[in-house]
Amino acid sequence: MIIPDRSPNKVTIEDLLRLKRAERPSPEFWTRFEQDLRAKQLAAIVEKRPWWHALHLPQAARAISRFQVPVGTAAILVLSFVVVNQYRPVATPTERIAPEVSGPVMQVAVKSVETPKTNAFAPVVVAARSAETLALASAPKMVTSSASARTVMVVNSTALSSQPSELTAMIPWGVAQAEESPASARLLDTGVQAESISNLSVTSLLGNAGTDGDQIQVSRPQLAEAKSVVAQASSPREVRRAKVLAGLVLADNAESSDYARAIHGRDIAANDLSEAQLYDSVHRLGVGGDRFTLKF
Amino acid sequence: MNAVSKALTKILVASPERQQEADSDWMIVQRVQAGDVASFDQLILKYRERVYAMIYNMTSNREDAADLTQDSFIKAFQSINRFQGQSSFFTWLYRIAVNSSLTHIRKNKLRTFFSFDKVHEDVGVSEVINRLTDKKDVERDVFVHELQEKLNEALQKLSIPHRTVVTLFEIDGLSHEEIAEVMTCSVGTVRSRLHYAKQLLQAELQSYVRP
Repeated sequence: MIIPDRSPNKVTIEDLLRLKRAERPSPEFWTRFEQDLRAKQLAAIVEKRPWWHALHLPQAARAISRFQVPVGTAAILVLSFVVVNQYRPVATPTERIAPEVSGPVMQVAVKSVETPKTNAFAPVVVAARSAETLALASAPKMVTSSASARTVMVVNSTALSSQPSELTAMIPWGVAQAEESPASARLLDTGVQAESISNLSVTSLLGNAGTDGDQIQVSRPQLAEAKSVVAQASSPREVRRAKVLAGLVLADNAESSDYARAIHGRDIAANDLSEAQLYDSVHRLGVGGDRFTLKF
Repeated sequence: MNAVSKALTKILVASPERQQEADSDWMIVQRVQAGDVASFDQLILKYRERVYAMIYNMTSNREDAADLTQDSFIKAFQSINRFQGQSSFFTWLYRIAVNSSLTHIRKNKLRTFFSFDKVHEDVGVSEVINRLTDKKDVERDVFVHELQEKLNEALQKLSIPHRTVVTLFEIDGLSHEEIAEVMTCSVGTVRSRLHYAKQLLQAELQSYVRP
């Protein structure tokens, strides 16, 4: 083993730092230090500590940090569940709403009876899925049925009442399910009542575009085609799409200024809102590969 | 491996003296936790000089160092019930002191005053000074004071982590493992910081270093 040759005058950085170790206070300094410390200690005992010191936050954080992965996963799952529930379309299971809705249904039905029934309307264009059908829809024919310029669309009630399930999915507040309730069942005994319910269904379908008291009339071919569109809607996405398309048809048929909102919606849809954008707004959640996306 | 065995492993990494020290400290701490507040004075007497020296070399100001040392002991006293023996009391106290110093230094970054303690010349220090100068009496004292200023200036030029590592290793004599525990970083980080800090100090104190 070779011992390094150290010259007698060699000074290293460690030697210089040894000088720092030699810097020490005098004994008097420690006497005063102790007095000050005692005073501070007493003050600390007397002083009331803030309440959050009792929470032991660092310890709690340390305890949680051990379970970072499971806690994080659980939080994501709960959040996903809440968000999915929040944005799920209000569709089929509406039995609980039925008793509440049966009242308004009857009221509206009576109102509808007052409107003159006529089948003499010209065929009206109906919502359809394809662009060609939409092109056809640009030639609407709306008929005002009364002097008060209330726009009424007559619905083929038998067609609707025979197959209510598809349309039910499109009605936000579950009117169609009211048909299953005892009160509604009594109403269905008469065609007029069924027609009224159908009228109401279409109104709901169109997003309550009309003002209070306005009724919308739909011709038989129009309704038949709407029914076919609805029948094709198998998923919530399709249902929403059919709803929007039906709204567009109504906007095209609108003559009253009360439907400005619907017309505005049509313009937006025609000019700006592409299908992709529409679906983008409908679907905020997405899962693809190893990704989970959430849009706000 | 539970927390206690982890702590034991850490203590065993250090020297046997440190382990013995840690055991006796733990017994005192348990007494304090049980309500024997006066026992804490033993810990103060035992560690006050080392804690003070560490803070003094970090701040280069004796008044600040005295205040921060007192504050560190007060904090340790207030939090003594949270100490569960997962590390030695010594490293726990050092961590409190280091954090207090760092907070103080960051707060007073732009306001730095030096005030030095007297250099107590023991055999080793006198030998180093003799190698650096052959002056006697007053001239020698002036030289030592000048060297003290230069040393403190050089230390203050280091970044806070580098200064902390140099202070804890070269001046306070802590091991790499203990420094890593106090600074909550890896031993490798401690070593690299120490190496870099020494290079910087060497460059700053070139006129005093004799190869």
